Amino acid sequence: MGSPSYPPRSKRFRRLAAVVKSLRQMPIPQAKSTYRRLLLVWAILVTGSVLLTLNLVRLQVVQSPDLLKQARSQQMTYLRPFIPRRPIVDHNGNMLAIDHPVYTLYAHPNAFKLPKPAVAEKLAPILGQSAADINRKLDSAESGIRLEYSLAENAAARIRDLQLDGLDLNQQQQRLYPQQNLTADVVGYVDVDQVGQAGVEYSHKNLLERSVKSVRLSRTGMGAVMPDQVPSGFLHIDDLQLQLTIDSRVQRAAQVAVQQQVKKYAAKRGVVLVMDVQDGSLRALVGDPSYDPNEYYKAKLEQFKNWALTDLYEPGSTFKPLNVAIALESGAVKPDQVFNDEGEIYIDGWPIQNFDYSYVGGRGPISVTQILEHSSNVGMVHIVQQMKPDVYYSWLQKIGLGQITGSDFPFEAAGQLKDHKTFVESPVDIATTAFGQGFSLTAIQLLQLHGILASGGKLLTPHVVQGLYDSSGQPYWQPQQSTPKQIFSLTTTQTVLKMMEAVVLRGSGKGAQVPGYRIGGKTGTAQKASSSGGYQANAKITSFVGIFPIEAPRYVVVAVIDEPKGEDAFGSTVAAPIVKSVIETLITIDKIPPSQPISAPTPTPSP
Amino acid sequence: MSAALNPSPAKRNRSRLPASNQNSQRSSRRPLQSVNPATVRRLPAPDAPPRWLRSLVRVQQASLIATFTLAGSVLVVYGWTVYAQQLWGKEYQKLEHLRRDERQMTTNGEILKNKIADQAVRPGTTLVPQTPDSLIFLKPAPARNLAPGASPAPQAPPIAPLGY
Repeated sequence: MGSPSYPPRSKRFRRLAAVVKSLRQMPIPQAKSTYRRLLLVWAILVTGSVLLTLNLVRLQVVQSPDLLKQARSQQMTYLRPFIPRRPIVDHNGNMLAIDHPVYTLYAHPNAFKLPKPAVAEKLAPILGQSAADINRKLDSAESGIRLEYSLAENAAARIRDLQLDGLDLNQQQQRLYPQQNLTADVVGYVDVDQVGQAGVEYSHKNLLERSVKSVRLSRTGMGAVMPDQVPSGFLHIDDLQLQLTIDSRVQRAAQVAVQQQVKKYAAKRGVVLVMDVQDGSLRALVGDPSYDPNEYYKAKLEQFKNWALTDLYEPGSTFKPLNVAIALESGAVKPDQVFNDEGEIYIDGWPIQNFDYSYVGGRGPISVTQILEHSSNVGMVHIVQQMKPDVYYSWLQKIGLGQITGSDFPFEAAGQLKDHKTFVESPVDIATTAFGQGFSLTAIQLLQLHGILASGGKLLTPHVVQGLYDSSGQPYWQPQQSTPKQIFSLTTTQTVLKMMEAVVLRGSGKGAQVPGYRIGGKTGTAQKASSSGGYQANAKITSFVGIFPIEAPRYVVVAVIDEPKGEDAFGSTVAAPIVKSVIETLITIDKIPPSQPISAPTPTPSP
Repeated sequence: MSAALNPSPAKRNRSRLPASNQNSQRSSRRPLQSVNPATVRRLPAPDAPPRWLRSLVRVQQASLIATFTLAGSVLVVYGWTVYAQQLWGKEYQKLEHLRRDERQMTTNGEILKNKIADQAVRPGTTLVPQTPDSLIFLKPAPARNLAPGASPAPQAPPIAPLGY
């Protein structure tokens, strides 16, 4: 009886308050035990929640670092996206080198769920090995058995689809060269660790390599990747490729031609170089014998160097047009000047004779053009003797003898030229230089020197890398090309080119004639220097240089064959046909119209 | 005990005899014989809760609605993020497959080209290399001068199709 002692609240609270109050007011012991029971329940619940709080504190604060580490190791994974080395393409977009992923298969028999023979049975058709072989390998160790390396992507996907425990697939990159030995001299090869060892792969490795960062991503329970902390550039791999100036069609034609001649004359080796004189880019550089960069380990060590750049040799008669150009440019000689060709002369007691002196003798007074046509050594000595020695020496240095060409190939060797003092004081050195012996250069330097004549007097740098282009042909980076130095005047080079045309028309270069086209060239047959001083008796190095078309030169072709054997092995028989075949290919590829009407007209139908 | 028992009889009365409202009303006016009138208490009429309590209750109800809405949207957004991640994972796999296909097609094409070119230079093949003899060079014909003032033929009306 009586009103409640506090102001009225909500209904529930009022009721509970009423119950508690009645319990407290009840004198009977039942109520007290009920009250105590209620208190006990409350105490148990509170204790439980306190214990839970303590556990929570323990997990979140005390054990937190360990649990975090465990969770990360389960959820996070390092993803290494496949970022390959940049591909190399030729001038027309044909792929010369491309990366592709290969897999190495490891087996850990201690983690197998199936018995070993069953696993071997399943793997046998995919790996191409017999089940017995695989079984034997699996029995050899408990873990870490390498079953197969360089597995293709399809085979690896099939093995992964088998979903067998205890098999591990490791992804690696491998470089594939689809053209095999066609461009091995230019492109080079990479070794097992994807490090370039020769050619463009070596010299331009900073352009080809891409930095690969492995990215940490978290995985769901199913193993799918979650794009939580993917860095922004993760998906975008640029599609830049290194484009070369090499044209595969010219390269292939040159390879066929040089292989044919090397085989025919049982030569030691041969090389062909083709340069475009607009900018000095190399259209072809092929050597024989060559190697397959896919299987570089099978090749002999000396094949890896590109001997067109590394090996020095004495050019011989192919250097004569440059001496003529020097003499004309320095004003010492006129184009129509006549010199006496005695056939044999003596300088400081050393005999110097023409190569055909024994059966032709002296030719008497001949013009400069005829000196080149007949490749007369004595005539050349007379021409060079018109210049002062130090003037002549400074010209030789100006055209780049004794220096490297600066091409973008690796391991280029500089030619050798005697030093100034020795040269100017020794008339016999001047005389031997007149017909291309007594100094040495590389084949690519010979190409550069004749490029001076073909380009109207400019010293071009032969190069093979056009730049980094993306797949739609837009340039991204191009190498810096400094403006070429003008060495000779245009008139001088045109005069010399006409003389070289006479060599092909009437002289030793007849083997390079192509009907309807004006081609200029020069043969060279030089004895090889022996390591003990002097010259080897039977070892020759034959070469031919072709420039075409004469009226507006576009290409210089150099073919050098080392040590052809046989009595008829001269530059005109061994090397000139190679140049002719390459020029024919260039004509058909570039659709160069003939300069003169071809002499055999086909009958036209009358209207 | 009386306080505890008191509300129930009155309530029971009301719930059992809803029709006989007038009876209960009459009983409130005249005391029932079974009940001691002295023990009948007036039900304390609850005062209206103060204004702050009413607004608090309203706030509580609003926050209840807001909580349920937010909880629902949390579930929806969470589900959406999981779905988006799954989608990303699937698309990434697709991208990797496409890249692989592109690589393989390029490589296979190049290898085929090389094999064909290799076979073309082998002896016994029916292919011959191109030579300058097989090229034909034509001079373009000189530009023709149209007679000045030559007008096109007078336009005849186009012949309409004569029905179908």
